[in-house]
Amino acid sequence: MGTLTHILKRLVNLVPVLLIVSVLTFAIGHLTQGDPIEAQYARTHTPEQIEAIRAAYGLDLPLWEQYLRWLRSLFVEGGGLSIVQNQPVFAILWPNFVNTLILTGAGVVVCAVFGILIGTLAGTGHGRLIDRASMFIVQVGSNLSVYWFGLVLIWIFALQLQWLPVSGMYSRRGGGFGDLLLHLILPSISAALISMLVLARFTRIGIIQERQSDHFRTFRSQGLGSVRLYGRHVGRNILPPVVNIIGLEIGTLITGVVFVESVFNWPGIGTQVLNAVNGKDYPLIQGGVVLVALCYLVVNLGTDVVVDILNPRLKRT
Amino acid sequence: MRFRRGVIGGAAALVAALVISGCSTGGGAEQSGSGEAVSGGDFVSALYLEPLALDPHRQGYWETYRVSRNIFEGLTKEDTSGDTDPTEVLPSLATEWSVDETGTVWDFTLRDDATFHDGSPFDAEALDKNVRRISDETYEFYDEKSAANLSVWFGGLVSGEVVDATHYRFTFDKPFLGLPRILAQSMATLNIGNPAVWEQYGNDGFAEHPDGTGPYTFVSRTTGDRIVLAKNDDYWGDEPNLDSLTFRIIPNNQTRLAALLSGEVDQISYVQPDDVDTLEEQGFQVPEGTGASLLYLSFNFRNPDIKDDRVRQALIYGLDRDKLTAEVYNGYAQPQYSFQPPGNEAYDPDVRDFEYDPAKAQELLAEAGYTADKPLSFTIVIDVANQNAAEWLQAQYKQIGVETEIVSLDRTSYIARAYSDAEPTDGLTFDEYGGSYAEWLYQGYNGLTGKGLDPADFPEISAALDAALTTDDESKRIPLWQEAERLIRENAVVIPIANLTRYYALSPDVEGFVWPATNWYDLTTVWIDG
Repeated sequence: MGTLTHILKRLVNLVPVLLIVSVLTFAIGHLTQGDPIEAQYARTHTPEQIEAIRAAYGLDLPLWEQYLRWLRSLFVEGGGLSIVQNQPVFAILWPNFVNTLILTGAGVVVCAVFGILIGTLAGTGHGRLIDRASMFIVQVGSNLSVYWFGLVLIWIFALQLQWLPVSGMYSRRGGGFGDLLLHLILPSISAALISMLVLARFTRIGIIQERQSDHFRTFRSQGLGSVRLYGRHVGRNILPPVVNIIGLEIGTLITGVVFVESVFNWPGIGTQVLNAVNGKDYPLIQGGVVLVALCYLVVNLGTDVVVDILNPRLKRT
Repeated sequence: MRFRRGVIGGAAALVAALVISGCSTGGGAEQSGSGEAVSGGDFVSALYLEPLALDPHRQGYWETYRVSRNIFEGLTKEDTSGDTDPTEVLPSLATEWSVDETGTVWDFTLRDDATFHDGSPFDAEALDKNVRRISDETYEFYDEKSAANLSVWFGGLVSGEVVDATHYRFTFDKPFLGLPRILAQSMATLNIGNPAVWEQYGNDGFAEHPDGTGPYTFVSRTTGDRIVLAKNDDYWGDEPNLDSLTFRIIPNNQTRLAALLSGEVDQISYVQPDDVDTLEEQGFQVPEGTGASLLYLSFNFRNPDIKDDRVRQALIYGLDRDKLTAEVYNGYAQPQYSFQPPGNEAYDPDVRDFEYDPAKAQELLAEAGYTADKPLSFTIVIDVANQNAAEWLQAQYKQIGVETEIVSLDRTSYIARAYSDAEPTDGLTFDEYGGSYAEWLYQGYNGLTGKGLDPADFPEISAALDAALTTDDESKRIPLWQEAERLIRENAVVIPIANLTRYYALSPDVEGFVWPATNWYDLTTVWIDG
C-alpha cells in the first residue's frame, strides 16, 4: 500500500474519532455543574426570569436537539454563537488559534534545539561531569511547575533585569516581528521546558546505546572522525525516535500551553477556552476542544508519516 | 495571623515576595501633576475579566460596562466627577425628564445634537427602536435575549411612545420612580445602541459592530487579548483627552500587577489588598474610595439548620467584621452592616445588625439545641478567589463552636452550587455585588431567593420591597427602601461583610482619574502627563 493511500485511510479514520470527541465534549460540558445564563444573571434575576433567558438562548431544548444543532453549526454557522460574547465561535477562536500555533512553533524550536543539544552533550560525555550536570538539571527541571517557572522567569528577566516584556504579544507602541520575538522568548522557554527535558533524556539514551553498538565500535576503530561518526551514523539512527518524541511533544505543547498562556497572558486558545470554561460558554468550550483535538490528531498523523519516511523499516502495511 | 489572597497560594506568595524585593527600578516617580490636561495619547487599562458582548441590551458584568460605557450612553448618567456620594443623576442623551402624579408616565426630552458613530442622528425614533427591540414582539428586530435580560426593570412597560423628534414617553403598569437612576446603570437597562446596526447585521450581529453615541468609537476586539477604541471626533459632549483607549484582558492577578509595574499598562482593576503597599511604595497611585458594592455572605435556605432564626443570628453575632477587614483585606476594606452598599442612595452608614458578641452567639446556638458533642456544622461554598476569607471564617466560627468545611470552586461551578445545585449541608456562600440605585435591594433580594429563601416565609419583607418599588411619592421612596433594608437586616437573611476601599491602581503619570461612588469610572477626563 502506498504512503498516500495510507494517509488517506488514516484521515478517514479521524472522522469517527472527532465525532466521539464532539459527543464527549458536549456531554462533559452539559452534564457537569454550572450554566452560562445562571452564572451571568443569578444575582440579579429571579429564577423565572432566568428560565426565560435560557429559553431565548435555546438552552431549554432537549440535550440531543442541542447537540444536533451544535453539530450543524460547526459546518454552517462558524461553530455557533458564543453565549457570553455574542460572536461566532470560530471567528473568536481563529486569531487565538494562530497565536497558540505561533507559541507552539517557538516552543518546538526551543524544545528541539536545546533538547537535542543537552541530550547530545550528556550522551557524548556519558559518565563524565557534563553528563551528570546535565542530568541533574533535567531531573530538577522535570519536576518544576510550569506556572511557577513562568513567574520566576517574569521576575528575573522582566521585572528585575527588565530585558524582556512581561506579557502579551506586542508592546504598547511596538509591533513587528522583532517585538513579537522578544515577547516569545519567556513563554516559549516555559512552554518547552518539560518537553525539552524529555527530549534531552531520549537523545542522551539514544546516543549512549549507539555508542555501545558494534558498528559504532567498528567505525571508531577504523579511525572515523567524530563529526562524521555522529553526524552520519549515530544521528541518523536516533533521528526516528527523536522525531517521534518531538511529534508527541507538539501535541503536548498545543494542549499544555494553557498555564503558560495564563501566566504570560498570551492571547491563545488556552486562555480563550479557560475563559469560556469560567463562563460555561458551551459553544466556545466545545469549538475550542474540537479544534485542539483535530490539531492533535493531525500532528500525530503527520509525525507517523514523517517517521515512516525516515525509517522504512517501520513501514506499516 | 496573616492571610494571603491569591488563586494559587504558593505562586501568589512567591510573587508577592518577589514584587516586594524586586522592581526597584520601576516607578518611584513622584506625582507631578501640572494641573493642565494634556491632549492625546493612548491609555491602556488592564481588566481582570473578559468583557461580555458589547451590546447595550445584552451586556453583563461591570468590567464589560467599564469598556462599553465609552461607546454607548443612556438617557441619564451618574455624576462620575467624584463630588457626590451617592452620585447625582445627570442628563445624558435626555436633557430633562418628569413623571406624572401617578408615577407611571415618564416624559423625556432628548438632546437634538447627538449622533451615532455612523453619523445618523439620535432622536425619538432611534430611541423607540431601542425600546421596541426589548419590548415589542411585533418589531422585526425584537430580541428575546435582550427582552428577557431587561425584564427585571422593563417587564412592566406598557408602552413607549414617540411624542415628537425630541420627546419620548414611557408608560408603566405601576409607579416606577426609580427609573432615571436605573437608566444610568450598566446591566438590564436601556443603554442606547444604533438601530441601523441591528437592522443591518441582525440582533446577534450587533456585538461585532457596536455603535452608539459615546465619546469613543469601536475599532477592534480580539477576544482574550484586547479591545481598542478611538476618540469620537463628532462627540456631542466635552472632548475627551485621550486619542485612544486600549483595554487588555489580563485575568491572572500576578501578571496584571507585573504589567502595571513594568509600564505595559497604565491602569489595572481588582487590585489585591496584599499588593497595595508595594504599589504605593513604588509611586503608583492606588486611589482610596468606595464603589457601590459590598461583599456579603448569604445563607443556603435549603439547609434545614439555617432556617432557624437563632442559627442565622448566631452566625452574625459570631463574626468580628473589624478583625476580618484588618486581617483578610489588610485594612483596605470597611466593615459593613447594611445590605444596601455604600454609594447607594438609600445607604445609611449608621445602621447595625447583630454586632460581634460571641457569648450571645453561643447562647443562641445552645438554645437551638447545639452542644459541643453535637455542634452546628455546615459547608462554606466559595469561588476560589475568596479562599482566604473562607479560611478566616472557618477559624472564626470555630471559636463559637461551629464546625465548617470549605468547598472552593471555579466561578461558574460556584454560581451553580450557590444557586440551583446547593447541597442541604451547605450553609454560607460568598458574593460581591451592589449598585448606587435604591432598587438594587430588590435585585439583591432576588439573588437570595435564588438560594432557597422562600419569600412566603418573610411576607413583611416582600410587602416592604413592593411598597418601595411601586411608591408614587418621591419623598417616601428612600425611606421605604431603608425600611425594607431594616426588615432584611432584622430577619438575619444575609450577612453584609465589608466593602473594598482600594480597587484600581494607576501609573504615576496618569492624571485626572477619579473613583466615583459607583462601580465604574470616566476616562474622558483622564490624561497622561509627559
